[in-house]
Amino acid sequence: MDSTTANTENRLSIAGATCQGCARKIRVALEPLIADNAAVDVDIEQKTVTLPAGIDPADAVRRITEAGYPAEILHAGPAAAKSCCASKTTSSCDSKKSDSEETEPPAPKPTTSSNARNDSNENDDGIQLAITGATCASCVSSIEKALKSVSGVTHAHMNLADNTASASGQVTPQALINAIESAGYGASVIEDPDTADERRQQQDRKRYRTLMVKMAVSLSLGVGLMIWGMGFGSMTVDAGNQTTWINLGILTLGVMIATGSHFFTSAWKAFLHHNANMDTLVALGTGTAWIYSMVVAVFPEALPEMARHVYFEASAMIIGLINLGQALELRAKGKTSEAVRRLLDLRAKTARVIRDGQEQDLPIEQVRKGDQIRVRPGEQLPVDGVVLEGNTRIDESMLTGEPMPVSKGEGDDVSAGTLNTRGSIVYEATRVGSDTALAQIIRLVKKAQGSKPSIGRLADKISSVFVPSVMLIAIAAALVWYNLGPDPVIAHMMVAATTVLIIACPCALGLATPMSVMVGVGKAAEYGALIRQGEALQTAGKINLVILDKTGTITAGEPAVTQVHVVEGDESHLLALAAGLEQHSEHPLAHAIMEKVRQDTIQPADITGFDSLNGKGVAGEHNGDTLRLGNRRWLEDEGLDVTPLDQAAQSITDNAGTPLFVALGTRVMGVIGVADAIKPDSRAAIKRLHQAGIKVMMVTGDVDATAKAICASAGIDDYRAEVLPEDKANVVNDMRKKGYTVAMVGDGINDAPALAAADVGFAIGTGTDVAIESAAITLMRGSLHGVPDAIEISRATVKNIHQNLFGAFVYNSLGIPIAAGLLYPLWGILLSPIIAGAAMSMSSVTVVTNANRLRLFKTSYKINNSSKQEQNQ
Amino acid sequence: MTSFLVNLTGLALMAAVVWWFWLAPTDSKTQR
Repeated sequence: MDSTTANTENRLSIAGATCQGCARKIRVALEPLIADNAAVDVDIEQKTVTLPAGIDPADAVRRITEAGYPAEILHAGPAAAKSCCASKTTSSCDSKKSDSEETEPPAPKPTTSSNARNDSNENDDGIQLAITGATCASCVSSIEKALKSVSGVTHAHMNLADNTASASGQVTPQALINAIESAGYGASVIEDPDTADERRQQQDRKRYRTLMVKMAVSLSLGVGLMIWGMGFGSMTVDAGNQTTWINLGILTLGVMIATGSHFFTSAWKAFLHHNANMDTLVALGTGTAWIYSMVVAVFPEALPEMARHVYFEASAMIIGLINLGQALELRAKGKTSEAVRRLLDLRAKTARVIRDGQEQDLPIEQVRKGDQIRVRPGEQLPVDGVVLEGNTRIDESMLTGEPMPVSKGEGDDVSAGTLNTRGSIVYEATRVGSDTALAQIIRLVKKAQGSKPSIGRLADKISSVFVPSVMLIAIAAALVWYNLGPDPVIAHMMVAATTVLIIACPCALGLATPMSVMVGVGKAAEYGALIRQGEALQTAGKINLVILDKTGTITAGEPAVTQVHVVEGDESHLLALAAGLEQHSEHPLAHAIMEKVRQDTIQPADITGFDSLNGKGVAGEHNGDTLRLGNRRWLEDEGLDVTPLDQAAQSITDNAGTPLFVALGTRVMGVIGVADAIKPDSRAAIKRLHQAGIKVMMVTGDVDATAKAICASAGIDDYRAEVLPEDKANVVNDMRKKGYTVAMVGDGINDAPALAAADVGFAIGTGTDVAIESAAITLMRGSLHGVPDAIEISRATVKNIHQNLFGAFVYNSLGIPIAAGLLYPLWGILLSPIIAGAAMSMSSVTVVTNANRLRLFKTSYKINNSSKQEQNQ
Repeated sequence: MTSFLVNLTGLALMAAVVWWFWLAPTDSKTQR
């Protein structure tokens, strides 16, 4: 967009829009104002909406805000500014009046977290916070509630999988930290995500060791007490062992404080803020067991003889088991972020920089844009750049998922993190530090891993009321036991209440969704599919129609020689003659022929008197004869008989190619078919989509015959031909109206409106040059296989989330009634609080382990290892 | 009498839980 255009348009800032779905809602909200939906540019990354001139921005602001995305005017075009300020209908119009009068674009917003540290500012990407003390879904709900309660916050989100939170809006980081601390948790601003990751890993390792020590101490005491009580003494208090039990009770209290004080402090802080979390349940459960046991030990006469049982071992063992569960969970959580860690490991530490003719190894931070860098075989490329000298094959699989090493020569782009497999090259650094494609990919994957698809919202809703509900159930169970249960009722009611409190596990609910999303997004990145939002991951699994753009998506996007049919002479002679003419031409078809002869090392024939005849072909003199290369009609007009080539020409046309006839003098030599060839793996990818039960459709600007030929050849079910680029979005909308869940696959630049209109937009590109922010899912490998890969991963992830949620719901809905004693009237079963503690720990470990199972998932795409080896040689 | 007191305590505790976690004005509610 040039500056002139920018000045005539209206630009609005929006808050709370996070995905293509939001973009769609905003477009729908603006429909009554703007008939041409495609004219609205919703930029989710920049959080801006650009409207055509002549639209009343105040009205647009009102409609977008009513749709749930608070909007403000950033820049109003002259006509719009007039209408806005004449009407003065909204406060935002008034507040922006001076801005529009000056018609100056707004000053660039500070984006770094260091800027955000002290100043109140509008944070586009949000302030990232590292959270401590959060253990379960209730904590997530409390933290999100605390963040949203801060004045100015428009959007807040907490990710339990990596213990980070983000908040956007006009707010200071300190206000957010204060809110979180007052809710009973710890928070600090993440200034550098990379170092924050390392620091978090170190903290996790330390916490793991601490938890294991605490677990060992509390379990030793619990098991010791159990063995002593059952083997040598008795778990009931009598006159002979009363003093011993009082002493053991005090010892248990000491161990509980030493190994489980974090449960009690966290529960207390949450309680003060009218919140309850998993720690509340643990603290209440173990606290109740200890207090009851201490009452029994100190005043045994106050209770009936049957009720003089102590449960000190239960308190100690429950704390031990939950510490063990948290340690195992911590370890398993670490594995879920392996994909990002693997990407982080791709970053080279040093680069061999050539400065003033001297080669020197410099730390990566000191490499500047424009530096010349030498990379030897087997070395990783430190920064992005352009090859200046040398030829090599570069393995880009770590970034694009493309298994074949790619040939690179002078002038080719190379990316940081990729591996130089063969030759030595010198290249010029074009992007360094956080600007490299690798750094962008890492940022994108991390952001997507933290996002929460709507599937997890039910769990969030339940968990916000979960703990208080469990407390009510525990009290109700105790009362039922008191009124209806057998003797000793006091002991039974205490056991039932404690067991209910301990067995309930909100952490499994809280971890079910984010853990699977984290692994799923990472897995997709391994296959070269960058997913920008958790929501896209969820929707991709429901896709039942894939609309493919033709050029660059199904086909290579560049015409190539696909068929050569000879009447006289051999194939290379025919190509040499054609190349002799075409070397003088700039036509795209000429490029295809020149590329073919270059590949086959054929020397073009000598031609004199070259002439280009518009709409007919090209001609010249070769060895005294007139050499013609062109279409059938022209050659027939020249009196040449091309009928021997009818069948060949038909075959070329049937395969969406253009036949180019070659004639020397009066002899027809042959025909060359030039077509935008279908990518070698497009057919296989489309077949995979069919196998997954997905209908495939193509939209193209080509004529009907060509589109039909491509569809027949690639196995596509349906097509829309002669569609203008701007009408592709309408095709997508039509299919959505027919009830399809539509994925649009395009090159991400001119297909942007169609990509935004689809339920999930896939931008396809070759290598790392693709604009990774243009669609919900970006396919780094220029192959259509990325689409079925992403869909299969999405389906596996959603299935995994369902399993986790189902497991967590079933566990809680079966565990709590059993703990309350529902099975007692039938079979006399009343669970021990110790079993409840073990079950509770295992339930969250199971959820995390099940999510980790996704790491082993493999898509149905088979890499042909033999061809990979051939390429390597 | 003991039975009455135990039941009353239980019900009072339940009411307290409901009041404290759902009905009582919290910091966040007041800020909103």
